[in-house]
Amino acid sequence: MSEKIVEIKNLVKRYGDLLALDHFNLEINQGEIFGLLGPNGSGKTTTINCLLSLLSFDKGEIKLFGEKMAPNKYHLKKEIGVVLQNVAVFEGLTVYENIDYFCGLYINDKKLRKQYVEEAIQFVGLEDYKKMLPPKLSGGLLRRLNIACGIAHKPKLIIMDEPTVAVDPQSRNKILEGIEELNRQGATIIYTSHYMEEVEQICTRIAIMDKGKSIALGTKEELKKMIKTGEKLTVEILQLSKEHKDCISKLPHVYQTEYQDNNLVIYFNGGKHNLVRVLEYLGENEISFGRVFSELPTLNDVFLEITGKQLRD
Amino acid sequence: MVRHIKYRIINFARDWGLLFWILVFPIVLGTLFKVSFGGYMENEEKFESIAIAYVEMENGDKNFSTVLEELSKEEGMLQLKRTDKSEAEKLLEEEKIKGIYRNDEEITLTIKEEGVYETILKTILDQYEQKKGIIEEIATENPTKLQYVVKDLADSGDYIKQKSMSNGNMDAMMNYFYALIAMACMYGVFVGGENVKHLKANVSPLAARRTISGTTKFKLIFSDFIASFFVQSVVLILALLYLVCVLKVDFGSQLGLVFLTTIVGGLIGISQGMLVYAITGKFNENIRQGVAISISMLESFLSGLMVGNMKNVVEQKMPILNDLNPAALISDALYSLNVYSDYKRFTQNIVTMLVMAAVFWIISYMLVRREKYASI
Repeated sequence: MSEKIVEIKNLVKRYGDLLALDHFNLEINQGEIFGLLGPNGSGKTTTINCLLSLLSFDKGEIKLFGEKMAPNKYHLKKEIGVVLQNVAVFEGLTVYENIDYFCGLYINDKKLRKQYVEEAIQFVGLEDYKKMLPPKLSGGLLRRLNIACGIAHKPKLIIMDEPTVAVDPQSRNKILEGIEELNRQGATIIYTSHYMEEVEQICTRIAIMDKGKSIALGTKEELKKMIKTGEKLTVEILQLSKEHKDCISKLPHVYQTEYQDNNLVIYFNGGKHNLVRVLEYLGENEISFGRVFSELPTLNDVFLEITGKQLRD
Repeated sequence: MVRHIKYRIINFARDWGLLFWILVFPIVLGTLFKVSFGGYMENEEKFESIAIAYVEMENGDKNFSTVLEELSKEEGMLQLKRTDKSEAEKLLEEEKIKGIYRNDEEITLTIKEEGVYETILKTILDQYEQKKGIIEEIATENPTKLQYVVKDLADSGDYIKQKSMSNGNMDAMMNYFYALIAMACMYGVFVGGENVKHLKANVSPLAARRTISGTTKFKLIFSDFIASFFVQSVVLILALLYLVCVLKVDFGSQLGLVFLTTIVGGLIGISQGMLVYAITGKFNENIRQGVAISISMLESFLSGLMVGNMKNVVEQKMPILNDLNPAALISDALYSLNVYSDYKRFTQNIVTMLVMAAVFWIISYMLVRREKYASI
């Protein structure tokens, strides 16, 4: 059985009348890339800040590496790397100096630190920008620097709070690849985002948060199985009678159909060969059709079905 | 620790906005002062004897006459003219004298306007009234020792003169430079403020990142403070060197102590900045900066940056303000170096500044050391 790196039990955090975390529970095992997914204000950052002992909380317990977390547990803090939502670097220090400074908050050995700093620079692809000051860097490069400052000391647990906000696609891909590489190197990662595609792409297990609660937890496959929608098929049809629409609705595994703006959308709750059956029906009934799209459910569909609202609402 | 301090110093040194306020601005202001007051400073007269008329009536106190004679001799503080009442009033009206002592059944002082000289005259009379009993007693019981008592009073009068000189506008132009240095020291609030911005997790993400690191908060606070003190000291020394070497401002013969005063002043500026930012931590940067600037400018104003004799006015109306105003303490310490032959007052100012800096620092530390917050 893998070691529990993070254990959160019954965590309650209030900001005045606002209940930010409502008896929140979470366990993260060693070697996971754990995704905390939820819309803005769902409690992701509050959870992270409580985990780091930056925020006091009203009730509950937090353990890291099997030990109760507290602000003065510096030996625990040394094992954690944090990439905050906002870029947190010194504007007056170069890329190299910034990484060296933050690495130095954890690593005292000069030789080892130098090696780690060089590796971090290489890792985030900032070799050509070592001597540049942060204000001269683009948003994407700045984010990469932010990440390098958080991971240079090779922590066992890396917490990344929305590290790709306002990042260009190229940098985003680089960051996501980097996270997977860190995980391969042995780090356990907590990744918070409201971008479901990212979480879906890299996370081995996901908790979906809303209103301070974990509303679903599991692998992405397990989460998708929690909802009714198994497949969504969209077919371009210029004219479709109500009779044909009703017949299609009665095909196996179909639980809902919508016809709007010359698009027929068919929702299946599982099953195989759904597309073939629909195309056979259209062919047999000489119904002409255009483009056909088949989509598997996303985490957004999971969130939508569980909460009744979009992730980015 | 050394590496922390090194990087913090580098970061300060590359902050051009900060350097403008703590280094360039005082230098520019000093240059403007020199350009504006240069001529006055060269023509500045040293302390003049205070011309007074003395009208002694038949039943007047003879001892007072002796004291005035002494004070007229001692460094010529008073320029005494014995005359009658009408002549004295005429001289006062024509502003040839600063006041009239009339020694009748009681001693009175008549002045035409309020000012430093008039204050000195009034203080001499007050001092005499306080010691009158002792003088009379000695005159009766041991007349041979009277001269020592009068000498003591004269020394006391000399002290009053010097005290008044330091607080007044006898050397008004230099007061502006003392206040300028005080202002430069008080601009340490920006440096101290920067420290807190990078230490309080509920103020900036950078502070949050440092707070959750594996380094103790004390180490972070202390290394930041050392770095900021180093930067502020270097900046102040550069500014002072510019005033002394380029503008040729004469700070007297004890330049080493002038530098010491400035460095201690910088220490209190940083500590005050830390305190202001620690207290106003929940507000946004504009408010924090506004409060810090307002306080340092008010202190500088009260120490005489804009109005040369402001410190004197404060001394008369609310002396405790001068005792609590770090900028006034700095300018007074600088002035006392030039005025007094001993270091009593200078030491008093320096010790007060050090105590204030320590108090500010300790309170700031208590407010900043926290690692856990109710909200961020």
